[in-house]
Amino acid sequence: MNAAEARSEALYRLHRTAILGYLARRVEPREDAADLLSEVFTTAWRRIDALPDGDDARLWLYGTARNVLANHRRGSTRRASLTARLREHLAVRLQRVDEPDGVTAVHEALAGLSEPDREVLTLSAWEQMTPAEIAVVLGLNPATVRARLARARVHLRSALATHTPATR
Amino acid sequence: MDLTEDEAFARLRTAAGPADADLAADPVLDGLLDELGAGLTSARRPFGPLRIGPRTFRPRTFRPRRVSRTGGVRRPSGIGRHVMVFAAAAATALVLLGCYAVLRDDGVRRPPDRPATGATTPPAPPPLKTGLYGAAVAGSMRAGEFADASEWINLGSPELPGFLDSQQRGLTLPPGESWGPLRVRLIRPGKRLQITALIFNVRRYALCRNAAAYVATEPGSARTRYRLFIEKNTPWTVVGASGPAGRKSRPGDPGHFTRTFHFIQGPVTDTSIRAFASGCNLPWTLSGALR
Repeated sequence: MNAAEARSEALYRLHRTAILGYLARRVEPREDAADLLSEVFTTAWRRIDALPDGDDARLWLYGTARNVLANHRRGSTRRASLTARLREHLAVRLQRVDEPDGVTAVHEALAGLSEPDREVLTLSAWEQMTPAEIAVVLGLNPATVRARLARARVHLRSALATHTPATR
Repeated sequence: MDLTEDEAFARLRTAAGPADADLAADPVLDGLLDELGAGLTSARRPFGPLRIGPRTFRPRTFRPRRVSRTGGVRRPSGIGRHVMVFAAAAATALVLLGCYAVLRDDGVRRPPDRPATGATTPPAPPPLKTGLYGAAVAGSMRAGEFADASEWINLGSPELPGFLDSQQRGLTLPPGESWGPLRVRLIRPGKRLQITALIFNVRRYALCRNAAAYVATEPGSARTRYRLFIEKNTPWTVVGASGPAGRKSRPGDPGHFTRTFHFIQGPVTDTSIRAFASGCNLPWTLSGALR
């Protein structure tokens, strides 16, 4: 195994679950995350020499996952034969069961927000990223992210106020 | 229903699913991800076989072009020989022009610090253990940091997730909580943390998440509830191998150290409880010295 392969495999081992989680939380049906995961790490492998060092490589993977997700929404992701078994497992493992009203209400509220609001909120709440990290993933200025996050939190609060079960 | 922004954000956080830790705890998924990883890398090795589960696929080898019964190269009907000759001549001219352009540009556009031939070789992944021990490796300390005689661990090692799995065994989190926020902070390629700090973070994280759940469900003021919860949790002692501070240890080094950890140092007061609770907020803040 040469150094590029070793680095690629190390990145895959370190971040595969986090990237799979990121994708599965944002794609429908959730098992499509298998193909998207394959796409993200294929891109990383293809561009291994261009990948940044240190923690920036993790943020680079999130940025790539975001682009792959956007392409998928445009219908341009192909199913790979390599991911067939993983897809099957995810289809069973991540099957949506009846979620509590509270969780459904949050998802409804989230769906009512704009894409930029949704993106900064979920990167902060679900991926536990700081504004500086979100800025790297989205290719924005950290100050812009902080402002966008503050605004998005206000929007989330009012959206949740209209989607909570108690007010129905 | 009146919610503050923080409460709304906390509700969003609990609606994350699937949690990374749940995915990481699934051994079948782990095996399938290993399989996919092997396939992804093998698929792009120039001449290597591709393994998917028990099956092995070998790349196609070069086969000579099919010839017609008359021995000539089959070509679409209606295309004359002179057209084929012209096309071949034009293609050759284009290739030669391309080669000339490449050779002429060589050395002009290439950045001076990149060699003309040979790919860059990224570093190999680091092992979990560094062989470095002691507080001296940390250099000067900042406020809130600590270091001891234990070994420094590479946070970018592919062995780290497995090590964290072993440390998490036996610790439980409240329903809906995951280890994700801690792992995101701990997996840091290029950084090191001492093994004691690593274990301390795992335990402190479990305590914090459980304390928050306890405070949210039990009656009484938050301060009293935190006190009750924290007082239930006794400190623990770590006995670890220790090399000479700041120097590489030798195999069979007999040095050992003992360290007792407290979630709250000194008497449990309102101030110390407040300090502990504020350190429980997410995104998670690591304990120890990150180097």
